[in-house]
Amino acid sequence: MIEVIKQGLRSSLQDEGRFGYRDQGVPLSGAMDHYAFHLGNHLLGNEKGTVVIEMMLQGPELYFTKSTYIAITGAPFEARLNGKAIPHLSRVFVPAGSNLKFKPPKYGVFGYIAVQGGIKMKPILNSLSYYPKVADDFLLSKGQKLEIKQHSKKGGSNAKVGSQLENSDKTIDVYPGPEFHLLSRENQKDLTVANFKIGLNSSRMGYEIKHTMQLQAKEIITSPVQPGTVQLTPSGNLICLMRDAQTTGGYARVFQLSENAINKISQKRNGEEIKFKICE
Amino acid sequence: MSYHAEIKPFGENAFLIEWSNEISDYNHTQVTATNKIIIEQFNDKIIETTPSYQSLAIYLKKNINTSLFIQKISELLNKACLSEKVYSREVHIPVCYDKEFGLDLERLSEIHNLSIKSIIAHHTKRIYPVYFIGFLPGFPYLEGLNPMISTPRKEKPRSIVRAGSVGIAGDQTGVYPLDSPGGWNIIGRSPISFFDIKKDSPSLLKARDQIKFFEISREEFDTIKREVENDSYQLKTFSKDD
Repeated sequence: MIEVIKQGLRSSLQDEGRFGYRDQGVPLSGAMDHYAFHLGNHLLGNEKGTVVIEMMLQGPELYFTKSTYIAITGAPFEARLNGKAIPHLSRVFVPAGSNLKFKPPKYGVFGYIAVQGGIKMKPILNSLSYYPKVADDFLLSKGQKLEIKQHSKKGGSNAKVGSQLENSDKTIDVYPGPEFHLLSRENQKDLTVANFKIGLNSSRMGYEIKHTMQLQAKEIITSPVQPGTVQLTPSGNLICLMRDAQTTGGYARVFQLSENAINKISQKRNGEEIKFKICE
Repeated sequence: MSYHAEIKPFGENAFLIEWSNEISDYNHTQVTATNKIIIEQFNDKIIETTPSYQSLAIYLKKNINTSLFIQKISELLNKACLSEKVYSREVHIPVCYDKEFGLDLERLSEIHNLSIKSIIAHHTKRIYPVYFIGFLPGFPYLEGLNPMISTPRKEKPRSIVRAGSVGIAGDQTGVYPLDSPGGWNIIGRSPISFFDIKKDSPSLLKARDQIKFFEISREEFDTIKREVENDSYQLKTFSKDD
């Protein structure tokens, strides 16, 4: 059992996402940084897509009543097990009766605690990903007890792996979106050469992309959107939709991020610079 | 039938099929019929699809080559004969237009210079096709509001609109399936549940439904609400498939 002593800042359970319900208006959700999510499960020999705990900027405090293995991935949160620092991106043994705490990471936003075997809970619409009002059970709360699922296979990896988080790399790979060609030539160029900044108004639903240019696009007939769709509003605001994005929207879709770019941008903080690069 | 659609890539593992840039019954028929064909024929290659007014998103499994798949789809669609008949059932939705729920009814009555009674009559008279579900879990995009009662969104959205609230925004009418912030003009509330995670298919309404609202009293609202909670309420639906 894992007991939640402190929930941290909106720590939640996340898996790959809630597939199969987008035509009923249900967002995908799932881990913000899929690279870090898969890496944690891989290090523990977990089945692909096993649910993990996602933490945001300020981690939870957890108490383990049972021994297990864990792996911490994503943003480099400083993890302390019973007061002692434990390595990031490695398989770590957790004895029964351990306390796990975190210090905020120096860079990055989302960190992951993968647990060998995963967490046993009843899925909601085939997924263990938190999404407000649809799957509230999966938002960590103080006093909550999470049952560790029995691990079926032996293994895991003692390999040392590198992080994908390169703090200084600001390139975000994108494809032109369905309305990119409707923009003025000038705006098309601006979007691909300028530097942008992540805004404060960012969440699991979408990131605000700040700029100082004169951008504009007409609204469109409400059409499908997905995580990684960059929308441009008539007043010139840019929004990069993230994992909890709505399923349809009425703003021009100027870019679609590559799968890996979604992971990368998810780890960028308020004020960090980014640059869009169209991949061919 | 000739096929006037454009296929556009939409990132690495998705593409869009888009029809002319307008909201119309013709486009709705095309989207719905194409969606049906793709789901039936390529169920093993797609994760899911998202239909909207004149655009259909196809989300492919990771191991599928997007450009090869697009080629296959265009060949198929060129040959396909799309059926005109897309509606599968008519659903009758009880709505209580009491002042307690119809928070903006009086304002609408002033704006349109119509009695509350005639606003309700206009709202309950028509049959609204569900074009698609989007924006929020279970949120239906309905077509066909009488222009006499179309009203712009409220300038200041409410921080919370209760689940079941029935509203008007521009020339659209709709219901809020979950509690949510919102700027629609609220004219009543339905006691039934529009989104239920305990059901395999959680959204009550589907893209091929047509809905009709009917007026209930404040007492009937409570009765039906109780029945909904006990799972004993019989929703009135009429199948349109022969």
